Amino acid sequence: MIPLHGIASREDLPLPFPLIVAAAAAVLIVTFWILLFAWREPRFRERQGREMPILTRFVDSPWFSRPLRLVVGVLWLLAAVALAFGPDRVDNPIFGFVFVWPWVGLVPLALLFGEVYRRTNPIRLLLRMTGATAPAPVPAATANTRSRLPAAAALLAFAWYELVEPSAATLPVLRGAAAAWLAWVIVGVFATSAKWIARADPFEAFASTLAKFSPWSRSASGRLLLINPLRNLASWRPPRHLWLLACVLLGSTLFDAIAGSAWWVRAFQDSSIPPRIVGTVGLIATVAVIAGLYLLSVLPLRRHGRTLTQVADELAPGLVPLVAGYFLAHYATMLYLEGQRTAIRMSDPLALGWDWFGIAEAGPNLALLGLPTLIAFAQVFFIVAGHVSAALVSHDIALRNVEPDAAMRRQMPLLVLMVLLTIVGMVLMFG
Amino acid sequence: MTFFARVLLPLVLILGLSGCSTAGSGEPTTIRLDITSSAPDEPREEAVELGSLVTLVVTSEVDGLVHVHGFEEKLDLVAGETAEATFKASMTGAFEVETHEPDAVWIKLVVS
Repeated sequence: MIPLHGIASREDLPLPFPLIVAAAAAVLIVTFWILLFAWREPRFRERQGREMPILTRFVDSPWFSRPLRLVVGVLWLLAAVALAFGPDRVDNPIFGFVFVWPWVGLVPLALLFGEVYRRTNPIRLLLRMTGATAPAPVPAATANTRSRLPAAAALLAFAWYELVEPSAATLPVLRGAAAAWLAWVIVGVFATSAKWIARADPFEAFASTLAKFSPWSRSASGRLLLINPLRNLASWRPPRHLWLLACVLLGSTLFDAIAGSAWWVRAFQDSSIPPRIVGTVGLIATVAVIAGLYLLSVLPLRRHGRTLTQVADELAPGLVPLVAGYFLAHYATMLYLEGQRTAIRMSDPLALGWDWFGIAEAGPNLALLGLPTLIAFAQVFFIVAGHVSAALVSHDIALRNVEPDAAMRRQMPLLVLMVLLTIVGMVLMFG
Repeated sequence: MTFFARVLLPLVLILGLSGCSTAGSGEPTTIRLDITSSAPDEPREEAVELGSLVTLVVTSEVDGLVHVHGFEEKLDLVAGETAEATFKASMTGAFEVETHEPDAVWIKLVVS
């Protein structure tokens, strides 16, 4: 029996093989060019860019932030209503709201506009009286670098729920999951402090991590900074256990591709082992293999006075572009199609025949899905661009604290791992 | 900022290049499907051209519902009778044609 999926109704066509070969060749050449011929002195250590004082005043003013929070708050309220009182069918907007809008949609949102999620986080809105709202920007120097282990665990749980749990797209199960998420974050806030949200809310931790690869940052004085995304990422003082969080994200996306591949389906569809166990073992094994390979690959970059996991954290920003590239390549078309469908369903949250936004009649726009060549090129572009950015950021970080010639040798395993992940990722999209 | 030029230019080029591929309108296609009480091991693959009119003709041994994913076509089935639905294959991709009782994917519809 083939497990029936809830929300994704369409799969992308396999990537054309010549395109994969060309992209893989480009990845190899560019990676080794970076290793051999790119800059020998770290150049992205400082957080600098163009300060935008007027934009800062606008973005930080209540005239902008209040309406923004109001709109986002109303959307979450609508979702909550659909979750509590809507019909238990796949056309309930809550499924698209959870699995498409925040999960997939926050990637382009964070990459284009930076820390939007943190400033509109519904849990922060709920907990306003405890001072949990994030009205003021955080200058880089005072950023919260405490362990992101709770968020990594929560993200793994979310990935398990989305990719493994067979009844994820049924209302009672989703209600339980939503309650668990709220309890995890809110109880944590009351037990510790409002800083728990940044460390433990899976969505915020995910969005904030990707926002570091956006062209937006804050200067020491708190002003908005238009910045080269590579510099933004490479100059980040990463929080502890960022490497684990990145490996969870990479591993779960990779597992999604593996579980959809023909050989996995053939191997397990008739097996007597329950699908929950197969999926759980598969997901955890994929994440563990990636985490293990990553630790091995940064082993040569270890230096006196630093533990292996500290070095793994220092280099973890280099994994973020890989995550971004994978996510966009795998889920951009799903965001396009199911994102529109979710908007349509959102205008009738209780399935009573309403059409608040007046968009139900027209149906989703499918123009982009009629251009398979464009989709294939865009997917490969996302993966290759993510890989090249990852290699450049890692190169810059690896040059610090190490002699240039030694750095070249020592960062080789990490770059080889990245090439491997990128090519495996593309081959999985081939078949 | 030259950075934006460096990032945006390739994007625009890719968009321009790929925009050239035209969406063809293929011949109308009829796909026949017999639903039995036992599910198939693997779904049958049916390839159709983008833009073609697809008619799905389903005969069934059991009562139930056939669902064409993606295009959101739903067909009510009555045992022993034939039902049909026609839709335009307006997007590329792979789509599953499934029933819920028995829980099975019968056809993988590939539109390209």
